[in-house]
Amino acid sequence: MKYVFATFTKTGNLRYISHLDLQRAFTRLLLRTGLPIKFSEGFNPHPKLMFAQPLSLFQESVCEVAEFRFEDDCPAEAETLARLQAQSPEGMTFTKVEYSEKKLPPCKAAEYTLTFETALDVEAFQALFAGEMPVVKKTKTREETVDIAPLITEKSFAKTEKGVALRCVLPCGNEYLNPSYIEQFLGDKVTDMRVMREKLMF
Amino acid sequence: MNTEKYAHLLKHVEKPGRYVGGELNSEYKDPATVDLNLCFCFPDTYEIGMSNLGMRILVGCLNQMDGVYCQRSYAPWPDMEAQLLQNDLPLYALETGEPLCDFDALLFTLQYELCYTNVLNMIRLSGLPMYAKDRTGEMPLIIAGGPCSYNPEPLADFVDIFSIGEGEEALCELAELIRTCKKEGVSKEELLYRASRLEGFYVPSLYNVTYNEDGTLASFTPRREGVPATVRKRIITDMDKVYFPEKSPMPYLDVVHDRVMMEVTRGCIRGCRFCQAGMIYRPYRDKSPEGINACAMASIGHTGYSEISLTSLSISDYPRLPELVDKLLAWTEEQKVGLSLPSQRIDAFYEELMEKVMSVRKSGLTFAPEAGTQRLRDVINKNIAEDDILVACEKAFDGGRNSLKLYFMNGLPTERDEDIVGIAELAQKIVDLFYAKKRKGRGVTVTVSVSCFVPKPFTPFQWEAQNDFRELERKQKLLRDHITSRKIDYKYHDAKVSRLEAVFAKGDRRLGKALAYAVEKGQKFDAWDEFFSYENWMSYFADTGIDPAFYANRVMGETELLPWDFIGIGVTKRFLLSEKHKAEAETTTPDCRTKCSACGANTLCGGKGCSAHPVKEN
Ligand code: SF4
Ligand code: SF4
Repeated sequence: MKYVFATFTKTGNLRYISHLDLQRAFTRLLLRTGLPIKFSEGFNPHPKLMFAQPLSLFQESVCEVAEFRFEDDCPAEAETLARLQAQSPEGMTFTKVEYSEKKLPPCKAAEYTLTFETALDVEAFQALFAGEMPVVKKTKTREETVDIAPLITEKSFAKTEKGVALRCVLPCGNEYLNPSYIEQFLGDKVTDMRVMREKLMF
Repeated sequence: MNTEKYAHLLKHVEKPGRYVGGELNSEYKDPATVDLNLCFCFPDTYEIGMSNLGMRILVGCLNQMDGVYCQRSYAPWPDMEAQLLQNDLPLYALETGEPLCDFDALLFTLQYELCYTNVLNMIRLSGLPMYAKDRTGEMPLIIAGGPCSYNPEPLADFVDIFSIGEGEEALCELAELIRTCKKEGVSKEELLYRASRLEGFYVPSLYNVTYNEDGTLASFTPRREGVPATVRKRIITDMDKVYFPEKSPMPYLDVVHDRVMMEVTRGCIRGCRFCQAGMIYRPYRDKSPEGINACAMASIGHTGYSEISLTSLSISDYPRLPELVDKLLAWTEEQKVGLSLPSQRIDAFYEELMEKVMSVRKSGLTFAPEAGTQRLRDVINKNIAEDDILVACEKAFDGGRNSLKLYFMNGLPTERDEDIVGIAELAQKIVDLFYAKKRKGRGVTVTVSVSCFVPKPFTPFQWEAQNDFRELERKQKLLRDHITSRKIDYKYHDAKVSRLEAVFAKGDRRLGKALAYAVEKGQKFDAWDEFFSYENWMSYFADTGIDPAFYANRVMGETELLPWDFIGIGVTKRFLLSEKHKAEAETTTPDCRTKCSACGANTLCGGKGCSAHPVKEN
């Protein structure tokens, strides 16, 4: 048995597809390829499938990683890549396939480009990130106010046509920070935020 | 589609995935270079529309035509509607994002009466006038079809052309006609006239309707020479040659029926007297196991679905079912594809077959006795004896099942209180049957689901009045009081919803003004609990001078001209009337396979007779 890591994009209209819906579509994509996918045991067998770091609705990515398993007899990585690509829907392009004996390690952080629509210029915008950045985080059981400023690292700001773009690294895992909290913090200072996940760091 | 124009709207709706298209297997053509741009419109949510096999078939069928492009659109949920209106954007098609007002024709499918407000609302949201007479030749034609078009009259003022019967061949012919008319540059009037002369199409504006003083129909006549007095439904005669969409769009969202749906039969050999499907889809036709198997295999390959469901009005009447199931199981088990059969008939042999299939996936068992006593089952011609039901249940319990669902109806013609009590007694007998033997598990659950009888056009009960909704509510309570076991789970439908269904099912074109008025008042999604409002509807009827009881609660005369009489479904009015009389006499009629009852549907098969029972020439 082998673990397969497939890197793919989720761009364009796929940003309107939730993580749960993507999982279902991905399962069907795997079944269409005819590749020797390993199924779970039990009454309702299905391919064992995992994603490195779920992506929220309205966000795009060029670096999603899915993990699934193959039976021993499997084609070379390049062929697997081609067969996945042949079945991929609009907005999904497979860029890499890797086999491994071990499971995918946990994802530590992700790099993003956040494109804001704002009337502020780069300096004024950047200043908003200088001090504390309190947001209300909701969990299942409670709400708490946390300062997200220390979680946003390696920031670089650039001017864009309709506002400002921010390149930054946000933590994954237990500390996971959804970029939507940055939009929440900025409130009415921005009219839109587009999220592109650029890189996952393991 | 390119969603940039809609990006800021989509951010504010609950399920943006409904409005962006891009599903695998969607059809892409260049609207600028095709001759004819059509959009198939489903007047309910995306999730329900994407589950509709008929729509998948017809969209695929039209897209097979060179130079014709058929896109899709679904009723926007009110949150999206509000966004569209706020931003002054029209409703659009999912493949290209083109506004619906720029199409040559919009094709609506009418699956249930309670979607009528959504049809009008979608026309309105496209920026088009609701009334057909207010739409010019430059605007898209509004075409409608589907089960409810067998009584198209409530929508007569709004729809330009109705397609009556099965659409695979007919709609392609209509598309061809519209293409020709477009090339020739003929007027809308001329196009409609030509369409009315194609078999299977009804153009409501070409008919004159007059009424008697008591409100009943006096006459229904073509306005122009050449327009047929009777519009005959279309059917497909060779089911193995009919188009089937092996490669249809794959929804991302969790839709209602998210699996490969394989049509096995059309029509039904039984003639349950309340059942509209049983009459309008006559005669019975089926596909060969070889054909179905090949289609199923190709569909699995193109979709990656892991379930196939066989669809049919009454699948156990398909004589080659065991053969088909064996063919399918030969490869589906290996590929870990599940197979599901609809299970609405009670029959021990069928239960065995189900067991075989269910070894792959176990799902609930459902039976539809429809009535609680043998007398009433005879009236409705549901040829099931109580013993059959009990034997099948016993078998199901022995096979390890411990839950089953029974469907019944309240308010059937001739129904007495003892028939209702009979439902409770039957359910109790089934519970007792379970406990008569020592069995493993947590005990049994028998779900009793009771709907309200809605008299439907083209059934032997089309003349009947629906019970007053207060009477229906009394009967629901009566049943409640007679169910004592906690093992019986009792569910019933809202009688007020059924009443509105009855009004529109038996309605005529005078209802149009109430519909238009309701839509202007913001009424929509009537099939959804959160939007249905009986009180609103009563006020719409009152404000537009319509008496709902005239339609729902009046017994129609046997010689009365009915609003849908001009449609020819094959089955004759004489046959329906004789069935009505047999119901009154509590006598049954055999199914088509046992004996042909000369209903008239064989005339649709071009002299060959029905496949269920070839009629001998005499
Ligand atoms: S078995 Fe009866 S209820 Fe079912 S489709 Fe046939 S006629 Fe209708
Ligand atoms: S003509 Fe005879 S066999 Fe054919 S549908 Fe009618 S009753 Fe059935």
